[in-house]
Amino acid sequence: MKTRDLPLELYGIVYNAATTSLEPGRRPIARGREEKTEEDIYRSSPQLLKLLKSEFEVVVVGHKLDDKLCHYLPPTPARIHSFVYQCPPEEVKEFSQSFDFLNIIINARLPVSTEELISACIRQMSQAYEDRHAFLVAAGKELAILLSGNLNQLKAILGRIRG
Amino acid sequence: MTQENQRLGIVVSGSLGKGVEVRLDSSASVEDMVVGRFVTIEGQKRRFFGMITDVSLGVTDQKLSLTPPDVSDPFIAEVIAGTSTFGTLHVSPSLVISGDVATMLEGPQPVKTIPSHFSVVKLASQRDVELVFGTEDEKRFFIGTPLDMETKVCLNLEEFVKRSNGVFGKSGTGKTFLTRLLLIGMLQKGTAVNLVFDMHSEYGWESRDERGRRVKALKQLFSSQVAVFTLDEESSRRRRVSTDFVVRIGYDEIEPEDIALLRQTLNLTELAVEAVYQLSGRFGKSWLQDTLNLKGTEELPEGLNIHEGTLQNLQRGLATIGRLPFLVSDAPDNAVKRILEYLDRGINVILEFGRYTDITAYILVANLLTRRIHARYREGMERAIGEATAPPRPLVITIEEAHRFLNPEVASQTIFGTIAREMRKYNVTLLVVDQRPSGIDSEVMSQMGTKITCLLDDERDVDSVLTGVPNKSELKSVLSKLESKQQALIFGHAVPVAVVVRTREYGSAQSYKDFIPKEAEKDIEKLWE
Repeated sequence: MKTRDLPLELYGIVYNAATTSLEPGRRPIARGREEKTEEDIYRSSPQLLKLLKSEFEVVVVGHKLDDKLCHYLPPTPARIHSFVYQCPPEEVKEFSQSFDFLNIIINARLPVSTEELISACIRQMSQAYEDRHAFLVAAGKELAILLSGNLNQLKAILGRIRG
Repeated sequence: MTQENQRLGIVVSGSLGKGVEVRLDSSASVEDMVVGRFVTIEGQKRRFFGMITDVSLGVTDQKLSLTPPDVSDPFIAEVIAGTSTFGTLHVSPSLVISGDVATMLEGPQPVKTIPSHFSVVKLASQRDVELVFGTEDEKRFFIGTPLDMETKVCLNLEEFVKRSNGVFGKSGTGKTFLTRLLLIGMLQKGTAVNLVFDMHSEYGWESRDERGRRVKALKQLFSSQVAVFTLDEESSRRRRVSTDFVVRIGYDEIEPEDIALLRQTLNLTELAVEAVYQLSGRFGKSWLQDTLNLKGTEELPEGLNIHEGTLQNLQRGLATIGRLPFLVSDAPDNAVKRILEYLDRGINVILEFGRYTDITAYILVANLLTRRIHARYREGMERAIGEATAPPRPLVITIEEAHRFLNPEVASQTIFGTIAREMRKYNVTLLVVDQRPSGIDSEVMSQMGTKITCLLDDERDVDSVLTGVPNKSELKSVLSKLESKQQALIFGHAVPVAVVVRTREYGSAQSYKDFIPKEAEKDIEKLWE
């Protein structure tokens, strides 16, 4: 993901996504016992779309300032109401030329499993490459260095990204 | 060729004394690394030249060796290689080949420092090796090629003949071939004249190699520059060798010193050797004949007090010598004089022993001739100093089974011990060929300029060959991993850095052609026109 907030663009990786109700503490009720398909639920009660919100959380892993790509945290956070875009494959490819961002993810104490996040991220990035295998090996080697003291974590990630 | 200048890895630790550790890149397979190969290290200011002396494996985390990952999965194996697990090389840098003023002016210099951390290590290119070993010219002789390379390793023969040298190796590892090559080199470059005590008659005329192939020798290749002397005319005639001189030694030429050296082989007591001196003092030149003629102690001239048993012991020993057919009571010609005549004319002399391969004959003749030749050289040299005339040509004496002459008990007495120690003062040096270097006196070993050694596996032999070498333990691992054929480790005076070579081919028609200088070849061609 990225914000486009020129001259500063922030790059981030989605690590969590959730759909909840607008009112905090109010949980959605199960519906659709009488409906045939899931779409019918929204058709019969269109207000639902307004009452539910989807949120996702992003860990910032780099930025681009004056066309220079940096794999470390930006000087300022994203502004409120900055638009967020999904990175096109070319940009993913450009960003993943360096694996420095992996270190940020490993050290960011996220509420989700780091292994899952890293492996999902690398798998996704690899789709931007024609030679997926080479990319995966390169990423694996970087991880092997970063996680040299934590063999189990390394094994878990390698098991998830192979192929 | 494709591997030329391939990057291998980076320097991670090391010291000047022990050499540097190089961590291999993941792209370089540890299995391709061979001890004995040359590498260059690109330091920040200087370029270093060195040799791989050891290869080992490392892991970043010890847990990895306790619970090895699943390397049957190619992906995991590929990721792990070079990151968590890696190969290391031990490299001993020996020369600085560029980067400072001295190397620019005078060529490669010995190392006095080591490359800084993380300097890049590459396989040495052909050019680097050429830079270090030079190209073939009037002083340098192409002896072989380094491992996995086509470049020529050249021996500086001018330096080579200045000191005594050794060729070592187990039986059947190619000592004779190497020695032949060295002799050809010296002949070709004319750096010295040679006197070869050819125990097994292999250097003068053709012989057969282990595969039964006929191999030409010196006289056939350089007929005008080589003379073959023989002790055994019949054997030479049977082998159709054209000999130049048949050596006969008169009884009167044998001196007490010659007998002293043979004490062990003839089984003489100390007292018997003492008696020899007394007898020769009394009888003069004909002492040997006279002693043999004695019937008992009662016939001893007055004043000589020799015990009955000692005399018998002595006579038994002398009789062994007396039975040697080339010893005659009255020699028709003086062999020493003849040899020196040839040597003075710059003609190399090979003395064939024919069927007298018995060590007694070999020691006796070699020692006897060498002592006199050495004495003459000594005179010549002293005269040259006094009268400022040209000194005699440098002479290289080749001896086989050298441990018989140079073992610690006799090295101090024999002329060979003296020559090995005195080195070049009198322009006479030795080329020692031996399969049991541990039998050679350590003092002599340490004085040798250049040592060329084929495979040796006895620990003591290896140790004695490597005495006095700075990075002994490293060369040891290289030496013990040599192949049993056509490979040799050369180190010392005549090469700038210790080197493992695949020896130059010898035995094919092309190889003979390469040995003969171009002009001479033309002359021969002219003869056919």
